[in-house]
Amino acid sequence: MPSCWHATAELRERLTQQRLLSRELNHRVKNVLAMVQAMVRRTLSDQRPVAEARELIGQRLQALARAQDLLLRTDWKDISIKEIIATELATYSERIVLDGPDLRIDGRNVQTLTLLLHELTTNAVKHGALSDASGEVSISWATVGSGANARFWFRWEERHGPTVKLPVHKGFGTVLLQSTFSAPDTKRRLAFEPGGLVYELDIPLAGLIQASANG
Amino acid sequence: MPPIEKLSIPAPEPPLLWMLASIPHDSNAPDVSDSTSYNAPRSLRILIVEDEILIALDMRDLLEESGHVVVGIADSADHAVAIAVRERPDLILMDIVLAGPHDGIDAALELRERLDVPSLFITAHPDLPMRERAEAARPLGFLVKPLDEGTLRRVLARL
Repeated sequence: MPSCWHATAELRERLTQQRLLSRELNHRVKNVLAMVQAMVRRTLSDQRPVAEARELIGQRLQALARAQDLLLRTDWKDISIKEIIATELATYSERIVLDGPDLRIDGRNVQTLTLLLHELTTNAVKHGALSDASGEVSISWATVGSGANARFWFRWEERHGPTVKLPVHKGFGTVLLQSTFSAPDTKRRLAFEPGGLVYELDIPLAGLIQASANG
Repeated sequence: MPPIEKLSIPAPEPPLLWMLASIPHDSNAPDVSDSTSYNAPRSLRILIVEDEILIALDMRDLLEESGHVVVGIADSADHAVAIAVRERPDLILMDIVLAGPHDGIDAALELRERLDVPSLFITAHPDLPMRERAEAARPLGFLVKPLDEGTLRRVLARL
């Protein structure tokens, strides 16, 4: 077969690949823009002073950017839950206690988990256990059950921090914590207990982690 | 000498197809959010199908601010069908690319057939093959992410 035929076939193949990649990139960019739009719109809807909203938007965008960095490193595949937590809580690593197996979180859930951790961290830094020198945060998680009934259980518990005060305003961060992961039969608990804020999440394991790792 | 083979360069896709009649933005028209100068549209019961919770929550707030009722948020096709069967919404705001084995078009097809509920697709990139596949669900149209708040309000006000 003449070499020009091979060159033509190869060129056609490359054009097809390039088109697919462009389409996929366009899809991801539009989705990220939609997330940014949602984040900005909801933060501004919380009726906060402009300066505070501007700071919150900047921090939330930084969290989203960190999630994008993680995803880029693994080509949007699965990422270690410990790595996600470490990335989000790097500044406070000496005051964080981790307890759980090293699950691989599916790429589709990395942004959601990152934003959830970001909202918990932001609250802890402003009002909770990380707002003074004595507090700490215990983060534990586990898988419970097996097969189609397997669940993922997650707990964030703040300890030894200042006395907890009930928030007077329910902002978008709180709404996100109370709504995040919309899979059926998802259970969430956000409690302002005397010892510190406690947040629990109990969701189906399927879809959260890579199918190959679900066992 | 063999015939010279032409490289097939894909034709550009046609501009976004609006199955719903075009909804131009008329700057002189009353703002649908201004209740003093506009007869409020009827309140619709709407199911949101979107697997990015941040986007879904924003949509929920936008819809509720416009007087509609959000009957649920689903993150997968199967979850969407389950909620729709239970809640019987008037309309579904349907993302196309979803987690799981089925996409939003699958869910829209099933819900159109079983409940005759229409979908309004909201997607990042409505390409031609996708639109052709979606046509069988007789959708109300396609809206593109990032979502324009005014367009969404105007679309819903016409229903």
